[in-house]
This record gives sequence, structure tokens and C-alpha cells, in this order.
Amino acid sequence: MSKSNEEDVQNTSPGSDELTLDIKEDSEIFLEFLSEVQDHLEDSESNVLSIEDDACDYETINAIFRSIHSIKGSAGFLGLTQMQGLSHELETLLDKVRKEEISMSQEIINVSLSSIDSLRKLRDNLEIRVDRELGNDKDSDSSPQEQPVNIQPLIDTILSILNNESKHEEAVPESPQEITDKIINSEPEEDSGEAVEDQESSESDCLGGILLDEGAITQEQLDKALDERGKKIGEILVEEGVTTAEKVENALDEQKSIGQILTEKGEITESQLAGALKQQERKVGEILVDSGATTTGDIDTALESQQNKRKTKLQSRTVKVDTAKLDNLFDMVGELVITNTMICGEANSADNNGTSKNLSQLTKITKDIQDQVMSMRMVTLKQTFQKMSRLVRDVSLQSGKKVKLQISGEDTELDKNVIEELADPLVHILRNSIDHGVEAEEDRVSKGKPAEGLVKLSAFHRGGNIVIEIQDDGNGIRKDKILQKAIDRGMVTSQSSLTDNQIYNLIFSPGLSTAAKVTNISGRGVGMDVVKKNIEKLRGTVDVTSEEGKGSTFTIKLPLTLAIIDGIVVNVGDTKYIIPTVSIEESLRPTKEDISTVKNQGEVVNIRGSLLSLVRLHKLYNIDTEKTNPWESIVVVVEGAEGRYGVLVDELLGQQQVVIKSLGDRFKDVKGISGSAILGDGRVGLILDVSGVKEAFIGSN
Amino acid sequence: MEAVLEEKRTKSHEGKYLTFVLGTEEYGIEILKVREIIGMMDITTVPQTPDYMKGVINLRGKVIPVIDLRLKFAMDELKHTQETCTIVVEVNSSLIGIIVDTVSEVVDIGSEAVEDTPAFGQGIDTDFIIGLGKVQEKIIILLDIEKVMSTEELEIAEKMAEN
Repeated sequence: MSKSNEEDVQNTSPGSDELTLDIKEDSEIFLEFLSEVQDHLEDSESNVLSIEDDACDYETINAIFRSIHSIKGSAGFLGLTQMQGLSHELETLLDKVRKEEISMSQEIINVSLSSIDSLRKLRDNLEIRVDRELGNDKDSDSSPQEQPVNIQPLIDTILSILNNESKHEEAVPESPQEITDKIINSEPEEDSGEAVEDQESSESDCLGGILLDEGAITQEQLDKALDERGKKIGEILVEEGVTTAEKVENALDEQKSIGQILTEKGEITESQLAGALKQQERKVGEILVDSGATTTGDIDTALESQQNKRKTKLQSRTVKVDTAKLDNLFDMVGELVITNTMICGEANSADNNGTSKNLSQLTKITKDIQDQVMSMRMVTLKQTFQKMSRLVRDVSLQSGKKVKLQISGEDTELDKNVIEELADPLVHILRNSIDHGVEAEEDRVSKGKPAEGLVKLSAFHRGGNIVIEIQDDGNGIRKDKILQKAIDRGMVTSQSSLTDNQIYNLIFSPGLSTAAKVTNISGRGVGMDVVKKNIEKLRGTVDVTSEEGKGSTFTIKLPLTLAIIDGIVVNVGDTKYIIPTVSIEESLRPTKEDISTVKNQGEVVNIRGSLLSLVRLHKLYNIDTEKTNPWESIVVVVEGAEGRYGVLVDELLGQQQVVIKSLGDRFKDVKGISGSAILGDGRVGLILDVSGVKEAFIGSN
Repeated sequence: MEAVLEEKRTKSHEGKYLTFVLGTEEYGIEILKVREIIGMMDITTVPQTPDYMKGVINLRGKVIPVIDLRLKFAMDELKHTQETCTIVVEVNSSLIGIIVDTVSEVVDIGSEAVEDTPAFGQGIDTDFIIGLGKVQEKIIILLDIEKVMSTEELEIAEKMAEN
């Protein structure tokens, strides 16, 4: 970046906005503005993407227009001139499109997406600023820094579209990434072939795509039609010999609306016709029927599915609730349950029939309330999946591969916290699938696969868990390559016999990438291990299966909620700990002979022939207890990140579902404790993190 | 600029304070920082933390840490009595319990009754003392509870580093 550019960027940095209100005094207004803008941007983005897909109608454009208009209004009120400026230009553009003065084009879609990206950056900058002013960032070093945003190139692009509409065919459409690059780097424009390609691929998602899916027309027919979309549709059809010039003329006669547009605009340009046709998808259908390429029935079913797709975009009625309030309610209900249990215990001993009947009723109601409150924390995966479709669009543009993302099960509900943490791992996996999995177009064709890659993202329930699957139809993982790389790096020895599954799962090890070249999307060998770590943090698992040449499937399994776990309550001295049931393999009381020491320090316990190191919890955490001999207490065999080992505890007290409570920042560095929970007697129990316990144990020796 | 700051500091000294006793000394905390006063509850010890960090308690469904102010101020630990209390204060928007010998009263202290903390020489940290308040011949040590807690966080971090 040259020096002058740097200055340029600095001049337009968010700090230069003079706010009309004081952040500290009117923090609520700012916070509300931030969340409002966030919502508007998300809505707009998904609406723009839906236009790109198939649903280019007045309502959708109007919805985007309204969102951007609201942002502009609020931004102006707060004195955020940059945000106001950009949204104003975008609004003007959308208004013209809305009034059909300009026809919707790929270029407009691209510039809208880039503008939304920039607005989001401006919003994020404001958020950082608000956080800083309100003193939420205690740690100034690690807090995110504001990123300079230069909106001028975007505004220029929009203005050029507005001024130059009739000539806009000459302007080279840009991919959002390129525009974003330009915003940051202010580099000179360069010609882009990719974007033109993208223009075509996205078109095929329209009616043609639906017809194709249903087998009503062939890919060839569609491709040809799309390739020559610039010509009048009648000409194409005549050239292809599907129809005669006469028939086309007849069709054109019926096509009154196109005729009207033509008259209104006088001389038409190619792009105007393309735009007009896009607005008139129904008419395209009729022409196809006339030309004999398809039947009315097919068109009707296709239109029906198009309608259905639009319908699902209706939003559900919701009330926004601060999560803190929800958490409070959750705590209170938890207390209610505990108190309820205690009273029940006392009443049972009192042996009063009437009371116990009423109490059991109360118990039932309390339980219902708890379930209800629990369900309030659940949100659908819709937003996350929508973000992914944007990502796939961008990555496929960058890598020059045509990729289609098929989403299912986006209505599956998950705990809000889980969903927030899920986005990053999904991004990683999807990027990998497109970058490494899906082959280049010519390779695919030569292998007899469809030119367009397919990535399926689906979510569903299975056995009390949520499963998210990412499936691509690409090249699959090459076992031999992975194994060789792992052997090279000394992760496994060449003698060790691994199952296919074990080999595939090696890709989650740090530093292992099989991509021949490192691209700016992926291939550096970081990422998959982070994916695994993040998923494990959510107490989930991630697994991969693959078939060479046919594709890979990543399966993420997550608990329904982060808030509740199944645990075994144990005690050491008079302290109670909870060990998550998922990490426990077994528990047993060893005999004296099973225990042996190494160098009189490290202890191992022999469990049916396998030697496991023994961690004495009372020693590790300095707890007074009388049971110091393993053969008088219990060894719980757990599986942590570093493998299996035994934990010595005094007693097992029972199994319990507990609601996890964070211990807060104050204790975040305590090794081996991942949180706390309130036990049946109202006391606090600490939840053990078995990987952390092992770390602490190694550290203490 | 400095004068303004100075004025602000003196100004913040006056107000209502909740006073409590540790041994023979009487301390005060700004009443606005105090959330509630509760009796002693069952405390769950958290390993690998300093002595004065007694552990965590269940405050109506919230898990909050409690510290023993005696130990924090390097006094001898006292067996808990009927009068021993936990004062729940809000520090940096999180709750924390403070164990004290006994809670006395709420007093109004005017700015003229607050004296700056005299220097006690090296080794005695007076950073977390706002000043000394004089109420009816009694001296009340006015604590800046946020500062008390922030040094505690550092110490925990150090303790972790040792492990």
C-alpha cells in the first residue's frame, strides 16, 4: 500500500465522524442502533442473495430498500456521516431499481453486497468504539482494533452505475472481493473474467435451474440459452432450431409486457433486455413452452417451487430479549427447582397426603417452566447457514470454481451460545471443501461429474444430539498422501496399522495440510485442528469420512445445549466435583497390587493389562481427605485430549444433570475446572475438565 | 486539568458508606457498590487460588466468588461466628462476596471529614484506600473496593503462573 493511500484511508477512518451524542450518556441509543443495524444488514444480505438466486421481485428489493433507508436515517441522527453517505447512495440506487428505472444486474448485486460489507465494517468499528468508551474492554491489548474503511470507491461505483446506466455493459462487473480489495487498497481497476462467469452461473439458479433439476430441459439447452442470453431470446430459439421465426413472432406478440418495456425505453440494449427478461421470468417460461422445450405442467411445478421458496423467507414473529435477562430468569428457575426439591424432601418425611399431592403438581409446573425457559435459549441455524451461502458464493468466486451450496434443516434449533461458536468451524470446513475438495471445472468434466461442484450443508437431530453434515462431491481425501505426510512429520510410524477412519481423522492434527499449494483461502495446515478444538469446546465431536474421487463428508455432532450436562458427582474430602459423563470410561476400586510407582513418584494403575497414570485429585488440589489409599477409594478412568488416565476420588455420589454456570473471568485460568454447577443441596460443585486436570498434573510434577 | 481531577476525587469522597469491622479496625465501603449483606453460606473451595480466595457460593442461582478480607489484609483468620457476614459488592459489573467480622452501620461522611491517606512508608500499600474518614472520634478506613479486587486478580494470575 502506498503512502498516499494510507493517508487517504486514515482520513476516512471512523474516528473522524463527529458523533452528535455522547456515547457514555446515551449508551442505550448506541447499543440499540448497533443491534438494529446488524439486523438490517443481515436481512439485506440474505435478500440480495435471494435476488441472485431466483427471487427478484418488487417486494424483496423494497425490503432491502427499507432496511438501508432505516440505517441511513439512524446513522444520520447519530452523526455517522460515512455510514449515512454510503447508505444514501445505495438507497438511491435501490430506489431506481425499485421504480424499474434501472434493471437489476449482477453489477448491482455485487455492489450492494460490497456496500453491505462496508456498512458492516463501519458498524463493527462503532461497536469497538462504544465498547472502549463504556470501558467494557479491560484488556486494551487484545481488544480488536478499528479497521479503516474507505467508502469512496464504492460510492463512485454506485454513482457510475447511476450515471452510466445506458453504457453499463462496458463497465466490467466486479466480484465483491475485488471491490473490497479496491476499497482497502485503492488499486487501479483490473479486468475480471471470473465475475462474468459468475454472472452466468448464478443465472442458472433461476427458473432454468429449476427446470433442469426436474429434467424438463437439458443442461445443453439451458447453457446455450444462457450463453447467448445477450441476444434476443427469439433469435436464440430460432438458431437452435427449436422453433421457427414465425413462432417466435407469435410468442413476442403474446409477450405484451416485454413489448411495453421496449416501447418505453425505445432502443434497447442487450443488458436491458437481459434485465427485463429476468423480471419477467414467467414469460420466459411461456416461450419455452411454445418452443416445445418443456410443457406447461413442468413450468407450473417449477413456478410452484419458486413460490414456496419465497414463502419460506417470511419472518417469524419475535420479541427481542436481552440474553442477560434470559440468563437471570434461567437462574431463578434453577433455584425454584432446587427449593422445590428440598421442600418435597421435607414434606415426604412429614407424610402429609394433601400436601404431597399439591407438591407433585408444583414439581410438574416447575419442570415445565424450566423446559420452557430452556427452549427460549434455542435459536434456529438459519442465520448461520445464510452466512455460509454468502461465504460459498465468495469463495467459489475467488477460487474460480463453480460451486452450488445445498442447504437443508436450517430450522433446526440449537442453544444460542453453541450457534455463536459454530460459525468459525463451519467456515473452515466449507472453505476446505471448496478449495481442496471440489476439483477444477475441467477435471470434473473429464471425470464425468457435473461441471458445477455441489456442497451440501445439512442439520438434523440424531439421538439427543444435533448433527451438522458438510458433504462435497469433490475429489475426496487421498489416504496415502495423508498417511505419508503424517509419517514424514513423525505423527505416526510407518508400521502402525491405522484404519481408514483413523487416517482420515489425521487431518485434524495440527500442521497437516495435503493441499499441493497454499492459496489465500486455505492450505497452511492450520484450521482443521482449530476446528476440532472449537467443536470440542462445545462438547461436540467432529468426524470425517471420505471416498476417493467421490467426495468427503464432515460430521459435527453437538449437544443440544451448552447449558446442561450429564455428570457424575464425586467427592474428595468434603469438596464435591462433577465429572462430565461423556469423558468417563469406567470407574473401579483397584486392588493394592494394581498400583505401582515409577521412580517412587509417578503412579500407574493396571486396569486389565493397560497401564494408566494415576492423578490423585486430593494431592493435586491440596484437599484434606482420609482416603489416601487407592484401594480404599475409587479410580475413575477418563479420556482426555492426551489419552486415558485414572483420577483418584474418594467416592462416587451419583449421576446428575447439572446446569453449567460460568465461574467468571476471575477463575478462568484455574486448570482443570471448566465451570460450576449448583447441586441438589444448593451448594456449588465444580465441574472438572479432564484434559485440564491432566495438564495441571503434568505441570505440578 | 489536574485541578479538575483533584476536585473530582475530593468530591467522590463524600457520601454514604457501609462500615464494618475487621479486628480492631473499622472500614467503609461506598454504599452504592454494596448489593446486599448475607449470612455465611456453604463455600466451595476452588483449587489453585490464594488463601484469602475462600471459594464460590450459590447466591440464588448465581455462582459468585467470596474472599476473606482478613486474609486479604494479612490478618489472622478468625473462626466464623454468628456475626460474621458476607457483603456482596458489585465490582466492574460482576458480583463478589467479602467476608467481614461484623457489619456496623451506614454513615454519612462529608468531604471535609475525609483526610488523605498518610504515607506509612515502604511495604504498606495504601493504593486501595480512598482516605480516612472521621466520624464521632472514630477513624473509618474508606476502601476503594475496585482497587482491592484488581490487585487480587493480579495475585491470582501470579499464583497460576507459579503452578
